[in-house]
Amino acid sequence: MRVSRAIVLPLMFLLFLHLIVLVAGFVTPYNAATQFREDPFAPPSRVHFFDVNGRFHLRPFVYDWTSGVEFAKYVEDRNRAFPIRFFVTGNAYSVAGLFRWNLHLFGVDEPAHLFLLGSDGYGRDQFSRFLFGGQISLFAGLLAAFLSLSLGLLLGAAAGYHGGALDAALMRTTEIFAALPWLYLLLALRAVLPLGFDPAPTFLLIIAVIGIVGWSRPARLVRGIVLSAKEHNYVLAARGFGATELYLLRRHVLPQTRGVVLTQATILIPQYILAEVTLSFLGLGVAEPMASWGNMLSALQQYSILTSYWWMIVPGFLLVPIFLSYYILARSFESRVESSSY
Amino acid sequence: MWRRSAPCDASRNWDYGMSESLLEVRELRKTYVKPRMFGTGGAEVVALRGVNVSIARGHTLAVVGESGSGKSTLARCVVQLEPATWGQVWFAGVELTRLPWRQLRPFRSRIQLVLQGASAAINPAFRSWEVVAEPLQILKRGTGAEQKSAALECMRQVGLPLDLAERLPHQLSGGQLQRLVIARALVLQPELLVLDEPFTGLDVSIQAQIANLLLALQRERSLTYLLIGHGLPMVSALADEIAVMQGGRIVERGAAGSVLATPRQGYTQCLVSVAFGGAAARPSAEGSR
Amino acid sequence: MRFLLHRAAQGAFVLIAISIVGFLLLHIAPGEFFSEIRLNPQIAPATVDALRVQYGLDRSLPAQYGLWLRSALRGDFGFSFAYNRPVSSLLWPRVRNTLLLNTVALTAAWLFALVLGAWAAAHPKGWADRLSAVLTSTMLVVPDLMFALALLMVAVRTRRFPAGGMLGLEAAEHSLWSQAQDFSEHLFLPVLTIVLGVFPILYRHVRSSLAEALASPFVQAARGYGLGRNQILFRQAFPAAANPLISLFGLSFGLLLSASLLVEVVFSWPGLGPMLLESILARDVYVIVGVVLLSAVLVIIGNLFADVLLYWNDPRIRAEWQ
Repeated sequence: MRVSRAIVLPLMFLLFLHLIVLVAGFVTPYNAATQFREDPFAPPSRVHFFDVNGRFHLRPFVYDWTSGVEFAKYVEDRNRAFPIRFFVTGNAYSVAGLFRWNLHLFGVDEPAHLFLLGSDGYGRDQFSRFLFGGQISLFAGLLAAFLSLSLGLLLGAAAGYHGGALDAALMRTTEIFAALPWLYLLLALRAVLPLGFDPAPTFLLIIAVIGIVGWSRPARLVRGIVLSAKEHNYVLAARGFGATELYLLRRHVLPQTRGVVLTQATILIPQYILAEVTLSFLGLGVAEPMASWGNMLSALQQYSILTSYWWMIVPGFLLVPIFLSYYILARSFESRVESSSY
Repeated sequence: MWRRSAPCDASRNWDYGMSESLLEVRELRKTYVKPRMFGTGGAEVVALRGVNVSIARGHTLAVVGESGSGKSTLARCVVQLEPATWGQVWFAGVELTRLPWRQLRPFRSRIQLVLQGASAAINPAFRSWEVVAEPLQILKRGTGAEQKSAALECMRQVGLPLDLAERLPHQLSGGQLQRLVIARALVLQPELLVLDEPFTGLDVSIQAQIANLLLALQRERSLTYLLIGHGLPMVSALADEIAVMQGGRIVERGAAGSVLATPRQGYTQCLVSVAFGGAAARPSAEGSR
Repeated sequence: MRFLLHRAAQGAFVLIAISIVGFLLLHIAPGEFFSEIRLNPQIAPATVDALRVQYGLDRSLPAQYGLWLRSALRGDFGFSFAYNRPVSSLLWPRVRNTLLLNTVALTAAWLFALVLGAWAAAHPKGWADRLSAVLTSTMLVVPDLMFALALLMVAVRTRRFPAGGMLGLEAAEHSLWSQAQDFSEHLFLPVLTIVLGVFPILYRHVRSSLAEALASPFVQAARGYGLGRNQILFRQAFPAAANPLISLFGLSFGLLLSASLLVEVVFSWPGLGPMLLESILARDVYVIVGVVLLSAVLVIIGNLFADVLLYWNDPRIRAEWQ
C-alpha cells in the first residue's frame, strides 16, 4: 500500500505525542499534583541563554520568580541563575503502575521552578499537568472510539447480514439515538453514573458513556455496506461452492467495511477527545487532583483568570495540532475509500 | 424453504432415457415474492411454470429466451442456489432437491454455475489466482501451495497467461474476466457446467474465442453444458439441443439443427429471424401450438 | 399529509422510548435527591419519608412512570427538588432562551453557508473558493470550547461586549429600543461562537452538493441551450442539490443544540444547557428527564420541518406517498 506524505506526517506526530504522554512521568519536571503554594499563577519561565553580563551559556537557565506584595505579580530575581539540568532526580512517580522511579528528563534545582507553561492557582506546573492530562484525554478518546467502532461493527454487520427483526430493531434504536443532540445525550448518560470518587472506575465509566453516545453512525454505515456487499454476485458464487455464512462474512463482506471503519476512526477519535475535555470542563469528568485538559480549562470560566493569566488557555490551543492531524488523516482516508469503492 | 416433489413415475417415457441423462429437471416451478420498498409483502412473481429438460452426458443444451423468461432462475434452481417451489432436479440419478444443504456438498464440485456478468461475480479485492483458488479454499482441498498450483493450471487451460495471476480483476479485460470465472468453475473438476449468459457483453471476436474455449474444454474433460443465453448465433455453434423459454415455460425443444432450420413456434421463429436475418424459416403452415 | 402524520408518529414513538429509557436509567442511578437531605441532621427522617410519599417515590417503578406520563401529557413534567418548583415553570423560559439563541445562530450559519457555498461552487478554484477552503478547515480544526473561551476573553478584555448573561441588569427600566440593543449585544458573541463551530460543516456540504449539481449532465445541457447567467442555473442546480442539504438542515438542529449547550454554559446564557448541568450536579431527576426530552422534542420538530421541506421540494417523494 503506497503511503503518502499526507498520511505519514500526521501519523508520526500523533504517535510521537502519544508516546510522550505515556512516559509523562519521565518527561515532565513535576507531577500533576505537586503544588508550589508560594508561586500561584506564575507566568511561563523565561529561558535564557545570555546572562546579565551578556555572556552566552550553552546550557539554558532560568531565574526564580519573586513576588512582591501584590498577589501573583512576579519579577525575575536576577541574582541567581538556575541552569536547566537534564536527567535530574525529582518527585517520584509510578511507571505503568508497576514500580516507582524518580528520574526526570530535565529540571532545575530548588528553590527555583521550571514552569514551561506557567502555573495555576495552586502553583502546579501547567506543562506537567498538560502531559499527564493528555494521558486521560487522549486515551479516553482512543478507547471510547474503539468501543464505538466495535459496537457499531458488530451490531451493524449483524443487522445488515441477517436483516429482518434484528435489522428493524437496530434501525429503531439508531433513530432514538439520533433524536438527541450528542452533548445532551452524553450529559444525560453521565448523570446516571455516580458523581465520581475513585478516578480509575470513573475514567472507565466515562469511556463507556462516550463510546455509547457515538455507536449509531458507524453501525448504520457498516450496515449499509454489509447490505450491499452480501448481494454481490461473488458472494452468490462462493455460496454456490458451498461456503458457510461465516466464511462469506469473513472473506467477502467484512473486509469491505475496512475503509469505513478507518475513516470513522479518524473522525470519532478527535470528537471523543473533545467529549472528554468538555465533560471535564463542565466538572463531570475525572475529578481533581487528577489532571485532564478539560479541568485545566475549567478554571478559565472565572473572568479574572481568563484575562490576567493568558498562559492558562494555551493547553486548549494545543488541541489544534491534534485535531489537524486527525483531520488530514480523515480526508486522505476518505479520498482513498472513494477511489477504491466497489 | 420447503420443497415438494412431484411423485416419481418410473413409467413416464422421457425423450433421452433416464439412464443416459446426467441432468434431469422435472416440472420445476418457482414463485418468489418481490419485496416492496415500504411495508411488508409484495408482488408475486412466477418465474418458472413447470420446466422439463434433460441433458445427456457430454452434450450441450442451450436454453434461450428473452430477458425475464426465467432463464437465470432456472440456472440457479438447477444448481440448488435457490430452492424450487415445486419439482425435482435429478443429477446422475440422485434427486438433489430432496437433499439438505449439508448433503449437497459432494455435489457442489460436480455441478458448477458460471454466473452472468463476470466482473460482478469476482471480488475486486482478490488476486486473479485467488479468485480461481477460492472453491478449493472453501472446500478445504489441499494445502495452500497445492491450491495455488491447481489454480494456475486451470488458468493455463483457459488460455490466461500466467503473468496475470497476481493481477487484480480491474486490470483484466472483459474476455479475460470471463475466462477467469470459467477457470474458477473448472478448478473443482465438475461434470456439469451451467453457464448463464457467457457471451453477453463481450465483443464478437471475444465471444468466438470463448465459444472455442468451451468447445475445447468439453472435448478435453468430457463436460456437459447447460448454456443459458439470449443470443442465438453463439449458442447455435455449441448446442446439441436447443430449448426455447418463454414466460417461465419451455415452448419448443429439439435438436439444434432442426430447431434453427424449422422453428415451429411463433416465438422461436422471431428469435431465429432476428438472429439470422430475414432469410430464416418462415412461419409454418401448421401454425403455433 | 399522510407523510407528515407518519413522520410525526415516528417522532412520538421515539419520544416515548426516550422517556422510558431516561426514566429507567435515572431511577437505577445510585444516589437520590433525598439521600442528601437525609444526611441533614436538622430534618427528621419522618419528614423525609413523608416527602418521598408525597412525590410518589415509594411506589413501584412502572407506577411512577405511569404517573409521570399522565401528567407529562398534560404539560406537567414533575417537580424540581432543587428549585422547589414545578419543572414546567422552570423549563419554559429556558426553552425560550435556547430557542432564541439557536434560531438566530441557525439562520446566520445557514445564510452564510448558502451564500458563500454557492459563490464558491459557481467559481471553483477561484480566490473565494480557496480562501474559504482554508478558513473553514481552520475553523473545523479548532474546538468549539476554544472559540468560546477566546471570545469570552476578548469580551472581558475589550469591554466592548458584555461578558455573559442575556440581559443587562437594568434592562427592564430602559426603552424597548435600548432593550433590543442590549439584548443583541448579549446575543452577539454566543451566536458568533456557535456559528464559528457549525458554519464550516454546513459550508462544506453546500459547496460540494452544489458543485456536484452544477457538474451534472442536465445542467450542462441547460448551459448548452444558452441559459444565461448563473442565476438561472441556480434554478436548475439548487433544487437538485437541495435534497441532501435539506437532510443536513434537519441534522443541523441537533448539532446546534449541542454547540449551544456549551456556549450557554460558558457565556452564562440562561438556556437549557446550564439547567441540565445544574440538575445533574444536584441529582434533580425530573428536571434532567424534562430537559433531555425537550431537547429531543426540538430535534424532532426540526427534523419534521426538514421532512416537510423535502416533501415539498422533491416530487419523487410526493409520488411515493400518494
